[in-house]
Amino acid sequence: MLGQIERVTTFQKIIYYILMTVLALIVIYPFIFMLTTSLKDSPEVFASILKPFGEQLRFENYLIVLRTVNMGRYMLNTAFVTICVVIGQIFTSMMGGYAFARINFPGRELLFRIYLGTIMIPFVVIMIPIYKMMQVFSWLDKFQALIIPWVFTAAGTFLFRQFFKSIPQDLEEAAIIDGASRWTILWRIFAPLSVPAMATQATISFLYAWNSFIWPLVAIQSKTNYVVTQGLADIQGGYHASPPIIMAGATLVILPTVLVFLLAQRYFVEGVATTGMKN
Amino acid sequence: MSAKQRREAFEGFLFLLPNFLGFLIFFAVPLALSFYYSFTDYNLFQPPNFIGLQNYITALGFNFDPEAYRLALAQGSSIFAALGELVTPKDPTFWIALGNTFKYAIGVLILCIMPSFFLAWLLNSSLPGMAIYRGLFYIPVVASIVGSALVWFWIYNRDSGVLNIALAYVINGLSNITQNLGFTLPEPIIGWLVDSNYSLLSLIILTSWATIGYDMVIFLAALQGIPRHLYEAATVDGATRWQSLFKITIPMISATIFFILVTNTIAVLQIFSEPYIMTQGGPANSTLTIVYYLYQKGFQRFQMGYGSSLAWLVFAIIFIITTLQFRVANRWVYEE
Amino acid sequence: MIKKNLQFVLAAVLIAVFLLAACAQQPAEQPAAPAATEAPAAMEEVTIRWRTRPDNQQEQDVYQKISDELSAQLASQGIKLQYDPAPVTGYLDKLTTEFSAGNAPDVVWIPGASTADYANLGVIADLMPYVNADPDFKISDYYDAPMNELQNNGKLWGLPRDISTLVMYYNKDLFEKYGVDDPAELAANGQWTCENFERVAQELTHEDEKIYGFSMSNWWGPWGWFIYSHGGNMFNADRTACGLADPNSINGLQFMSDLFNADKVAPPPGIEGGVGETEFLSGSIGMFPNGRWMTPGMRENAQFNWGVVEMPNCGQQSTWLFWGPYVMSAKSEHPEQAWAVIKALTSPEVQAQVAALGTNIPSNKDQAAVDAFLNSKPPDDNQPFIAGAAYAQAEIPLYTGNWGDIVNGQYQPNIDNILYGKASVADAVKAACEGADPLFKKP
Repeated sequence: MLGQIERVTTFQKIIYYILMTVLALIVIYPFIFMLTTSLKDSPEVFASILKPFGEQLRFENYLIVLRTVNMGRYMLNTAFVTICVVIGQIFTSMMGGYAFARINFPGRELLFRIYLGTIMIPFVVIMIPIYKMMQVFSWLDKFQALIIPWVFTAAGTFLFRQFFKSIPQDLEEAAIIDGASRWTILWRIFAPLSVPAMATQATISFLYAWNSFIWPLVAIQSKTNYVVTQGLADIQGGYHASPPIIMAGATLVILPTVLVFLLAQRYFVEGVATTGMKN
Repeated sequence: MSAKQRREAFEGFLFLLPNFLGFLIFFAVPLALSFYYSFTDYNLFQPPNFIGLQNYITALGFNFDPEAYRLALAQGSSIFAALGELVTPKDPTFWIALGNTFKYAIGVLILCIMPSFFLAWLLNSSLPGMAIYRGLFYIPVVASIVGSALVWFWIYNRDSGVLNIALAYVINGLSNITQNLGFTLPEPIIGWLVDSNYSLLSLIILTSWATIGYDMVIFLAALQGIPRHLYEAATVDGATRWQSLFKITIPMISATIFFILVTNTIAVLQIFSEPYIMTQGGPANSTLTIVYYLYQKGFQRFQMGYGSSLAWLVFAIIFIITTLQFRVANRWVYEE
Repeated sequence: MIKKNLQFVLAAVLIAVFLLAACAQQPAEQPAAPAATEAPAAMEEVTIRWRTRPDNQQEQDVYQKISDELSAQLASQGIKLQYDPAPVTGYLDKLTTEFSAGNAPDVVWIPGASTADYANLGVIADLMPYVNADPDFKISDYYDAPMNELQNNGKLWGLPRDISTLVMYYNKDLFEKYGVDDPAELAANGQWTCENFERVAQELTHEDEKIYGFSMSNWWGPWGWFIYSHGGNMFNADRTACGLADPNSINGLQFMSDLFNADKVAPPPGIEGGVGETEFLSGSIGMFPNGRWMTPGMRENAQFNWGVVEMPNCGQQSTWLFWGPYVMSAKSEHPEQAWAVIKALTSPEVQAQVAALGTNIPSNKDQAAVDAFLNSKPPDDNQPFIAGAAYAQAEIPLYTGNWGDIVNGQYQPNIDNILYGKASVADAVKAACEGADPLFKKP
C-alpha cells in the first residue's frame, strides 16, 4: 500500500510501524506463550498465567522432555526420515517435472491432469489400503514406511514442471545440437538454474516430512522409532496435567521448522509466491 | 509414430518412471482399493462382501415415514414439525458433518483470505523491515499443527486461558466507560472449545491463523507484480485510493485471488487434524468435519466400507465445487 | 544416440533405487529380539509382545519394571516379555490398525466396554480352552462382576487387569475453608445422600472466586453414574434398546442437568477427555468423581489435602466398576505362552505391585493383593474404593451393538446438549433413543 504513495510523512511511517508490530505480535503471541510457559512450573501456570516468567526459569522441563520422554531420540529419527524424503522428493520431482515440461510423449497432458487431481483426495481415503501394503512389504514399524511411499509428490512435480517451462528453449536446443543427452541436459544445465526451485521444494518437503502426524501415528509402533509428532502426542497423554512439559515438547517440535524456514526464507517465500502467481 | 517420436516417448517414460511408480503403487492402487471398499461392508477384519450402492444410499438417502407424520400431527405438532418427521435422513450425522465443513470453509474464507489480502496490501511497501514482518506472519504456517493445536488448547481454556483473561480485561476496561453512559456490558466467559456455539469458531480461528501467512505471501507477490504505471495513470486521472483498489488492484490480481480460493477451499474441505487433536468432534458434534466423521466411522467403529464411501463423496464434493469455481472464474478473473 | 540417453537414464533409475534402499536401511536399532528362535533342543525361546495403557508416566515406569521382572521369572518356561508401550492418545486407533494388519501385540489391554466389539469381529482369542486345560486356574479367583461380563455364550474373552470403582475425590482444604460438612463424616453417619451432596456443592460454590463445588469429565462414566444412581439404566434389560427414556434415567439426568444449569455448582464440563481433572488439580473444584487411576497424578501434583468418599446415595446406592481385560490376539503365534503371560500379569503378586503404586484395585481377590492396595496412601482412607465394589455396576461390553456408534455417536452428543443447557432432558433423551434404537442387534 505504501508502495503506491509517493510521499510518506514520518507520522504515517510511525503509525504504520506501530500497526504492523502490534499485528505481528498478536500473530506470534501463541509462540511467546508457548516459550514462557515451558519455563514455568505447573502451579504457576494456573496461578498467574499472564505473567511472562515464573520464579525461576525451569530449563529442566526441557531435560525431562529430551531424556525421560526420549524426545531427543525422536528428533534424530525424524531428522533422518526427513532428509531421505527431501532428497527423494527433489530427485523424483525434477525428473518427472522435466519429463512433463520438455519431453513429448503420448498421454502427457492427461497424465499430468490426473497428477494434479490427486491433491484433491484426502489422505484418510488411502490410509488403510496403504497400511495393508506396508504390512505385506514388511515395512511396518520401519522407516521405509515413512519414506518410500512419500517420495512421489504431485505438487513437487508440478513445481518443477512450471519452473522448467520458464527456461528458454534455445538453451536446450543448443545443447542437443552439441550432442548432449537429456540426462546431461537435466543435471548439467537445468539443475544449476533451478536452485531457487530446489530450495523451495526442499523446504516444502522438509516441512511436510517433519510435521507429518497421522501416518506415523498409525505406521510406527515401537517407541524407539517414533517421530516428533508422536512424541508430542505422548507427552500430551502422559503429562496432560502439566502444561509446562507439554509446551516444552511443542517448542522442540516447532523450533527446527522455524529455524529452517528463517534460513531458507529468501528462496522459500519467493518460490511459493512464484508458483502462486504463475497459476 | 516415427522412430524419433518413439524414442522421445520412451525417454519420457523413463524419466517419469520413479515418480510414476510411486504414483501407481502408493496412490493409484490404494485408491482403487478404497473405491472397491466403498461398495462393500468391509469392517477391517473380515473379508469384504459386496453390497452395491448401500453405503451411498445410507449417506445421502432419506426415510419416508407417513406413520410418524400422522402421529406427530395427532400429538399436536405444527405442520412444519410434522413434516420433519415425514422425511428424515438416513444418517443425520453425515449432514451435520457436511454442514460443519461448509461453515468451516466459509469461516476460513472470511477470517483468512480477506485479512491475508489486507496484510499483503499493508506489507506492499518499500519501507525497511518488511521481510521481517513477512517472516513473522509466516511462522504459524511452518509450525506443526500438533504443536500449535496444543498451545491453542491452553489459550482457549475457559477459566485460565489467556484469551478469556485478556477479553475480561478489555470488557472491564470498556465497562468503566459504558457505565458512565448508563449501561453495563455483559460479563463474557466464552466457553470456546467447550461451548457448542463457539467451538467451530475456535477451530476456524486456529486454522485461519495457521494459514494467513501462506495466503499473504502469495498475495504480496501478486501485488508486487502490478505495474506502477497503472497507478500513476490512475492518480493522474484523479482516482481515489478506493477506486484504485477496486478498479486496478483487485482485477490485476484476480487470477491470484482465484488460485487462493481454489486451494484454500480444497484444503479446508479436508480438515481433520484440528478436530482430531482438540475436540474429537464435540461438543455435541459441533466440530465434526466430514473427514473426521469418516475417520470415526471407518477407523474407530470398524465400518470401513461406509467410511470409504464417505471419502469418495468428499472427493465428489471437492471436485464439483472446484469445477464450479473454474466456471465462474471466466466472469471475473482477468488474464493477460 | 539412443544408447547414450538410455544408459544415463537407466543409471539414474538404478541410482534412485539404490538411494532409496540405502535411505530405507534405517540405522536405528530395532528394539528387543526377533520372534521365535527354534532351537533343536527342548526349549524354544519365545518373545511375547504385550501392551497396556498407563494413564501417566509413573504408571508407565511401573509396567516396564514388571515386564522386566516377569521376563526373568518366566525365563524358565522359555518366555521373554517385550513391553510395547503405545501413547494414550489414539491408543485404540493404533490397536485397530494393528489388528487389521494382523500384527497386534500378543497380549494387550483394552477398555472393558470395547471387549465385545473386538470379540464380535473375531480378532481376539477365546481363552476358555486354556482355562479348561489349566488345572491351577480358577475363574472364581477374580471378582465376579468383570468375569461375568467377560464371558458370553460359553466363551471367555480375557482376564481383567484390575478394577477401579468410581469414587468422589474431594478437596479437604476447600471444605475447611468454607466450613462445609466433611463428606466422609456424612457418609459415616449414613447421611451422604444426594440432597446433602447438592447442598454441600452449593455451599462450596463461590463464583466470584472461581470456586465450584463440583466438576466432572464428560464421558459415560460420570454421566452414566447419574443414571444408575437413580435406578435407571443406559440400556434395557437384555441390552437391545436404549434405556435413557426410562423415567428413572430421566430423573438422574435431570438431577445432573440441575447441578450444571440450575444450581450452577459446576463449570461446563470439558470435551470428552480429562480437562476436568486439570481444574480439580488446580484446587478450584470441591468434588470430582473419578476412578482410582487419578490417584498417582494426585499424589504427584495436588497441592492441597484431599480424600475420597463413596458416591452419594440418590436412592440407589450405585457406582461404576471400571475394568479392562488383557486379551489375546487371535493371530498370536504363541497362544500357549501368551496365556501364561496373561495369567502372570493378573497374578496376585503382580497386581500387588501395581496396587502399591496406587493405580488400580487388584482384580484378584487374594488378600495380599487387597492389603497392598489398602496400604497405598494417600488417600488415607482407601476403603471407599473397595466398598464400592460390592454394589457396583460393572462396565458393560455391548455384545449386541457397537459401543462407539451407540454411546459415543448417539448418546454423547445429546448428553452434551443437556450439560451445556442447549436441550431439555426430555428432548435430548428422545433424540438419543431415536438415534440409538435402530443400531442395536435385535435377537
